[in-house]
Amino acid sequence: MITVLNTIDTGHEDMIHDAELDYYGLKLATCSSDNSVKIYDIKNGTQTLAADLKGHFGPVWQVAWAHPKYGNLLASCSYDRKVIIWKESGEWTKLYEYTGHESSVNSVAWAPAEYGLILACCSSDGSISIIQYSQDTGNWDVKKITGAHAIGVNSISWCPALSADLNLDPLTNKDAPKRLVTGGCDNLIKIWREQGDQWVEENRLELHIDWVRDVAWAPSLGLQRSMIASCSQDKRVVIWSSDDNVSWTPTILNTFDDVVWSVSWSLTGNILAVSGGDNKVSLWRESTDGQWLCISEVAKGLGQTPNDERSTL
Amino acid sequence: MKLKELKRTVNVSWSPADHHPVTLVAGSAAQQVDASFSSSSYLELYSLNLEDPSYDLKQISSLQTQHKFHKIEWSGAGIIIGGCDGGLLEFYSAEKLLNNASDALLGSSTKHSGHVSALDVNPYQKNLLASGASESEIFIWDLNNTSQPMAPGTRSQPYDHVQGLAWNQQVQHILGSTFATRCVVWDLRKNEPIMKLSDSQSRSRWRAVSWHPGVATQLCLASEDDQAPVIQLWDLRLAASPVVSLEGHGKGALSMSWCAQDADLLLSAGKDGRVLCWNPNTTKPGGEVVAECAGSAQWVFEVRWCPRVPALFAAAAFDQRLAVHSVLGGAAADTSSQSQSNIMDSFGAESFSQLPAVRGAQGAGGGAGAGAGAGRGALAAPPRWMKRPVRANFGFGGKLVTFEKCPQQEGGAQRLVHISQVVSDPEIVELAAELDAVLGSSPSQDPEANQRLAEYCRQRGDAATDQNERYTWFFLRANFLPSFRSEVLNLLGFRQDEIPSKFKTLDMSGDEAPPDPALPHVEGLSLLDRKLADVESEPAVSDVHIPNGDDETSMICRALVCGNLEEAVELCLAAERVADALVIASLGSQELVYKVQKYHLNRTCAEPVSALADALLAARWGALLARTGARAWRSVLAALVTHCDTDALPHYCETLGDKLSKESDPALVQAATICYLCAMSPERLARVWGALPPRHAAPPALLAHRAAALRHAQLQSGGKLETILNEYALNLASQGCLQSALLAAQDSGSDDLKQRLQRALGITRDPAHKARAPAHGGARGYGRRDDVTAHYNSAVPPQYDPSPWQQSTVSAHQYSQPPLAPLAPQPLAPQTFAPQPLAPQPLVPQPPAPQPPPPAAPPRPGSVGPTAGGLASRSKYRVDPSVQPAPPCAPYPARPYTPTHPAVNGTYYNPPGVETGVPVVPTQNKPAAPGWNDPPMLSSKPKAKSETPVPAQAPITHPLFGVEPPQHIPLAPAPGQYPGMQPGQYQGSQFPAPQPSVGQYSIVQQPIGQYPGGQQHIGQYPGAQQPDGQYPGAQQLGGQYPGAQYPGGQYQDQQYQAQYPPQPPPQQYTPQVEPQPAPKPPLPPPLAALQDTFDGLREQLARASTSSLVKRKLEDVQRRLETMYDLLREDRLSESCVCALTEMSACVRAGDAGGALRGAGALAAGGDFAAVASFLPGLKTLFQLAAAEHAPR
Repeated sequence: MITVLNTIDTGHEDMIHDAELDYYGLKLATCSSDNSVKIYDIKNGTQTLAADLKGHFGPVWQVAWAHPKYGNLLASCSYDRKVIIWKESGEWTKLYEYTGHESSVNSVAWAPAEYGLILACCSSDGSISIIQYSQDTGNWDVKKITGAHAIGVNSISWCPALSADLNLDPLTNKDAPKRLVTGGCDNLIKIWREQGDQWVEENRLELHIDWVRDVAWAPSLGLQRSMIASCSQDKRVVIWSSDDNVSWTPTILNTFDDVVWSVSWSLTGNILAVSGGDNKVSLWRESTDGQWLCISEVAKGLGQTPNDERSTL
Repeated sequence: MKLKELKRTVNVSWSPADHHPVTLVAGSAAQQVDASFSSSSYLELYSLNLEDPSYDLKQISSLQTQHKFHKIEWSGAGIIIGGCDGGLLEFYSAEKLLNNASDALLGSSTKHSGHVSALDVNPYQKNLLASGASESEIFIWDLNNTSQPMAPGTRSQPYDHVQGLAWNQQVQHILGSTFATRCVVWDLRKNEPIMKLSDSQSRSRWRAVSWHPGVATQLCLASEDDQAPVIQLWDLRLAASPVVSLEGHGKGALSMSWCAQDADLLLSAGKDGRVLCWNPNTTKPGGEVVAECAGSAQWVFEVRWCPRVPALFAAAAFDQRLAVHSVLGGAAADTSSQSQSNIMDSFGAESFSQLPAVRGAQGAGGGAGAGAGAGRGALAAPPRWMKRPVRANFGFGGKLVTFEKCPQQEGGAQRLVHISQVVSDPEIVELAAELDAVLGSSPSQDPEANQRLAEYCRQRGDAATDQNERYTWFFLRANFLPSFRSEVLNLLGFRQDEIPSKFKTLDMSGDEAPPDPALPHVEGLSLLDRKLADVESEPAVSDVHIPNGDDETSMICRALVCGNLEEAVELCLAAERVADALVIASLGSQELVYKVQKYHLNRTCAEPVSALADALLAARWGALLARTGARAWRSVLAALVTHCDTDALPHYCETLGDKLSKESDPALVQAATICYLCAMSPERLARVWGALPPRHAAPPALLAHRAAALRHAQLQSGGKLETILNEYALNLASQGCLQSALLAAQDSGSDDLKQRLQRALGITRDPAHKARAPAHGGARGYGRRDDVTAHYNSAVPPQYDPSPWQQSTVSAHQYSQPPLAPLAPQPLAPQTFAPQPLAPQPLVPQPPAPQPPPPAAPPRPGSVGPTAGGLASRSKYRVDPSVQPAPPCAPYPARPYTPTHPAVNGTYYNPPGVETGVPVVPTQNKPAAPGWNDPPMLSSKPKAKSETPVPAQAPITHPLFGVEPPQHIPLAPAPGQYPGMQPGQYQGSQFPAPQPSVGQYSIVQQPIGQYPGGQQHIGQYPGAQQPDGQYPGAQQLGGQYPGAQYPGGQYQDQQYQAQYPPQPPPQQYTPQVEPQPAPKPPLPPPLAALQDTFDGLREQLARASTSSLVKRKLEDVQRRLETMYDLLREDRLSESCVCALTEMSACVRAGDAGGALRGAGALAAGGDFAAVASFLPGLKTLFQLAAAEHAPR
């Protein structure tokens, strides 16, 4: 059920930390501990290097593509405390650099395109920044949540614009709030809600007993409720679900053999990809009776079974 | 970054790695006093309290102890060990301490001598404790049984104080120990020291020892000598000298901690008050300080990484400060002053506030501290635990992007990224493939398309196990068949060929309403024939006595004899002789017949036959729906399908469905679905299917969407159907079936998804560009590219109708239009296109012009062929670009499928005379009356062309040269009338009248208006009438599409000829002359006002009405009005008559429909009846409708 379409030799000189396809699946951005960001054009099983972006002075943790209606924009965040927004206009250039954090910026995420061009990022300094491009002034306006998670914020994810939220359609209803979820080194997951000019902590979800490594708010398409996946150093993945975005119920998806580093929802929100420190990626789907079932384990590197790999390690 | 602070001088230990939550144990440090010289000692537990942004640690418990501590260790075995003065070791229960129990002290031992300042717990066997004190004493304790400690070997000579102990992190039986001048490594299996490390080069005084977390043979030693404040990395394999000396501390180093999660991080703390983080694995001379993490004015005597949370360490200093730091830097919370003062308060000693504040990290040692790192006190390079080694990201189309740690090069380069296709739902992929095969081509491109759709439905229906599902599929299938209605009837159990037998059997099936007797029309005839076989033979009755008395019969007879029909009817009714009443009434006015009919039906309305007959009589289907029980739905639906015209059918079926869906019986609710399927109302269906999982809902929804387009149902954008399709498309996209998804998406409204799919498929390139690009050009351009993209592209321009096949037709029109345009002024244009071989001269220049659209052309004929009924295809013809904005389907469907039985329609509803009058009233084809319910021709191309040169209202005037004046043959049987008019029709449509003769022209027009489709079905009037209305249009385009490709048209021609051989040979007309320019002379002004009024009223009603019945009536009205106008034009009406008409028009203008109606009644009663009979019923109907409308003006 899983077929490798492309294998890209990125030529990164150090660990790769993120690789993300753009909105259409035509461009791939990778980032690495070698401080670089690379962009590839993907087509029919082939790929060509489109850009090698050097602007960070530390490992680049994550990249994020903006919705194409704002042009080809890529945000990257790095251990060098910076967020860089790159723009393609013929060539890839630095559009904006955000230096408002005092420690490693660990995660970036663009807001749903409906809200405008808004980027959220979070840092090991424990704070969250929400950076909004203002069409009028051409400036990037920053709002900051300090002390969001002690020791640091590891991951950030937006609530989709069209969520199951209280039947409020944010596009037509101004009262429908924007929401963010973050996971941090305090083992907590926090949900933030925009309230007027401020971002306030709406909820804190406690269950993990170690750093929350990644959080991902499920796309709402086709779902009757909101779901957030979180994964942690405690080797567990938890699905938090809510009918109203206010009260959340956790379900432990699984306890893995190793630290779980990332979770990612399919665009329809019904499959969750979990990748762990044991180098395994597994795919999970919720059955009709609410059970989460592993539908596949991706053996990485063709022809290699996970067991082989582990023994090598 | 400092996170937390405790204002005590304490020895500290973290809870073990597997302990949650992270807890600190702090024991008052020996040899230290606070400002009050208090000698009391405490063992306290603190939680990190990270949720609180202040510096405060949260105390969990506090236990007063007798002794102060030199060293604290928290064992994974749940025991906290304290080393005290006087050789005392104390063992506390961690659990009891956590519970703040006072009896937490489990035991103690004084086997040591001197102060116990070295403790370590074995990382593998958590109950193994090593302790060291004076006199080289080292004991290994089993924490489960502390009575008998063992020694790792003979005591190391010379006796010295054991400064530090550390278990090897890799090999559990290796223990390192430091004395001031040497480091001894013990092997507990051998019970002897295996290695002694001493550095003769430096004057180091060893204090602390720490093993490499990953490399078993490496350890670091820290010297507390201020002269040689070095940390040395030794490798036991090269024990002669240290591998590297880490030189950074200004004064002696007191404590070290090697990070278990990242061996590149070694913390050291010293008398210079600094806490340095080293990378001991670099061979750089002097070592590499990666960060200066904290500082103190006083000795920092203990530093420890948090075993659980890798970024944290605790540092204890003699300035009465225990601090918890993060190595990741960042801004300290600015609540410190507040919390500090709190701390001060809690201590009750102001003097503390004068103590030197924590120094910032000035004067970095090693010089590498800041660099490009993450801020003050943060590491220059990220620690290993921050380096996410793996990640899987989903992308659009079910793509999964993964990368991996390269097993061969742990920590090294890792270069490969994989993009994989995830197919989580192979079933839906298969489903999509199947659906693609049938949906992939539109009818305009593939003549087989509808057949394939139907076939697919059949397969699905056959395969379905669920009866309801079977129904769904088979009824869906019917929608794709040209014989939609008969198919539906079949499905409903009214097989036409079984009707006779049904008649016999149905009586027994009690609760079902009897079948509609009018339903099996054709077969019914034969039945009727049998019954009435001898109807023509004169009954052999003689000697009938006509009474002349006072009894009822006599009265009736008398009334009849005197010609007093109304009275006779009344008497008959009084005598309950309804049949007689009807016969008699039929001799009188239409109104009378109608009244009698209604009288009868109302009286017997509870009877099923009456209910049906009533519905048939006046197309009162709403009433039928209201009257019949839900269980009779099958018959009612069958009746609807049989009788309702294409416009009304969906409405009534939907109404029936709505009614059924409210029933509690699930079978009836299911029947509602069938009704919706017959109505092809996608929204209702979507509501039903919306409850199904997408994979079940999507296929029927897709097909329903197709069918709806085919049947011109109004598709509500943003409706539930779209939601289903959109969801389905999304699901497909998430399986990587982008093409299938696009196919599904183009039927739904989500432009975003469409655009995304197109881009992802590489169909469109630049989104912004595309959005602005003229959609048409785009579609055409792509269409030429190749087959695959072709049908996708037809959907590209979102501004178009969602149905691709329509679009292609549209573009065909657009192709053809420009070349045609110049010809338009030539009145000949429309007809000259006729595909006859006789194509006249003027045509010659044309063929080249229309040729350009070869790409679009081929699909066209195809679409005509298979859909014998020609529903979709024909309508497309009429999608004239110029007319397009108007609802394209509306005018058309009204006609072709009108299945009204001529018998019913004609005899019941229309006065017979009307029928005869009809042929003569040739004015239907009027641009001036663009009513949406007009026959198709109106909106079709030819008219648009010819319209241009002619003043709009010109056609209204309509001389009748050569045509019989309106005749009234009220009682003539309907069928007989038809042949009479055939010639005209024939000539007109097929062989455009060659002469400018107005008379001819009028004949040309006639068929168009007269024979509203429908009859085609019945077979009595073979298809010709209706197609005639249409074909002129089609043939006009014949230049592009050779006549041969219109088998339908030709066939009908032949049929026509066959059936009406006596018609004038068509050849006599040379088709070069365009009749169009012969306008009827306008009416003289006062009469023109009449015309305006009546036509205005008619149009107004037509606009206001949605009922097909009303529409049909209005068409009839129009015909009759034209008759009237013609009569007026020819001045064949008497003055009094014109006067009455004027009055009526005045009434109409005044909004008094009742008055007008009375006027009409008066006119009927007047002497001019013969003259007005041809149009008066029309006027009456018009006024009745107006009155019913309650808003006449």
